[in-house]
Amino acid sequence: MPADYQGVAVTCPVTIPYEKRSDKSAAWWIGRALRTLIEAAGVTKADIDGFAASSFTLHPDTSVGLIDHFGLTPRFLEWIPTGGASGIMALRRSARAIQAGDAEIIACIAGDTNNADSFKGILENFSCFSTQAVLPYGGLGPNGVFAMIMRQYMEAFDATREDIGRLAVMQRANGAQNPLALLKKTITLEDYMAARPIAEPVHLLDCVMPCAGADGFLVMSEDRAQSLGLAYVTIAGSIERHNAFPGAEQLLQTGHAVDAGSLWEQASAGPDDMDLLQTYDDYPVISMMQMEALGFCGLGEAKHYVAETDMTLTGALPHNTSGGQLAMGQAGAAGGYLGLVDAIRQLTRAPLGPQIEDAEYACVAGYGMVNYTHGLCSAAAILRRP
Amino acid sequence: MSLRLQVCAECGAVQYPHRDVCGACLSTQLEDKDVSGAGTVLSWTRGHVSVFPDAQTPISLARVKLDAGPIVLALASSALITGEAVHVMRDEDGLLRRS
Ligand SMILES: [Zn+2]
Repeated sequence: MPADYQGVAVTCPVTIPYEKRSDKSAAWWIGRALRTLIEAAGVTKADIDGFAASSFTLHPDTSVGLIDHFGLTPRFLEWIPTGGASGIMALRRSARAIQAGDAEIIACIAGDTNNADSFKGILENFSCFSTQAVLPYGGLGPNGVFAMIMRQYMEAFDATREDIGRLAVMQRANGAQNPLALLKKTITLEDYMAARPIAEPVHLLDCVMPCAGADGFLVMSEDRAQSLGLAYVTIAGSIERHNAFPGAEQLLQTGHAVDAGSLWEQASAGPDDMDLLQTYDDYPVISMMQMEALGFCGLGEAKHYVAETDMTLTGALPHNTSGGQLAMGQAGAAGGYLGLVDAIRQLTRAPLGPQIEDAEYACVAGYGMVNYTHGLCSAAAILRRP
Repeated sequence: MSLRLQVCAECGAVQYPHRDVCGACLSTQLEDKDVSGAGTVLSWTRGHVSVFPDAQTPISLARVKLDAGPIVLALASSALITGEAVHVMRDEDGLLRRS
């Protein structure tokens, strides 16, 4: 079992309100998040001695360009270009750096801009494999790849669009209570079913809306967080796995399945102990696959689990408490931070919308990077209110 | 019907997408060879929204397991069924397509 995360505090969840389109740069969004983090913690810029960043629209810069831009002098620097898995990966690396004394306060930020050029740039330059073997095949983008994953899942487990739509409906209900959600309107199952086809069986209400925005948090020692008077959460366990199933014909599970046992063993807890669950929701079917891979229900059973479990904010297991990307929009790599940041908010009693009563434990999962046929990166963490 | 793909001279693994290093044994000895285009449809989609403004929709796209080994994405001009046996070839644009 990996070493525990004793002594590490995760604090100051920040979301720079998303905008549908932006003529600002990714650096502008990330810089605003950095300043907001510094102000939230009551520290100075010079106190930030660690920096981890993720973005898809920062090209040609990376976190190196950002520290020059922002005038930072960190002794710990990460560039985590893994989209939906980036938040938990930043958390894991930062936690170890804090434990090892390699940094005292680490700012973890993901941010992206969104305009016609930036979206096209992401699609055209996403990866060598996708540029040669996905994009020229009709230009369907991630919708086409995820449609084939969704169909395979539906056929393997006899799941219907209704089974998947129920999750989207509950999530949009959560988003309706989030003042920062770009899509605040609730939807019905009838709306979901009637949505226009994008790449069958993916329809419009399976898709996230690209937008601009940034999310971030700070990682420091518990001692430091206490001396600064900051509300924080601790890490009860975490995992990551990349390219879990090379060459798999059946893409029915996310890579979390490989290490879920370790996750729960580290946390000395199980799915039943969780007060909220955040999954990476770039397509609701992928959220269902994460529920299965993490052991909230058995393989292929998410259709029953979702039908039987109230996943709204007042339900048995609130899921994607901000409304997730389906309601907030997808601010590029910040989509990989959203669930994590909102879990910190809930556990520190600083929610954007309604507070989940007595929330002590959160499970947060990330998934990302369709290099070719499916997302290669999986990560998860259990957060706990101290 | 055959399909020209990279084959590893050391371990024989057929590669796709194009690689510089064998995905099985990390050899750099990759040679273009004719392999069978026969395969099985693993999943498929019919796409209605393309980033290419001049694309003719709907676009049928399949994920196919080739008998030769790799998994490919291939366009199709007719309806697809999961599990059906297909042949994949290169079209005039060099794209993989169900023949
Ligand atoms: Zn080889």
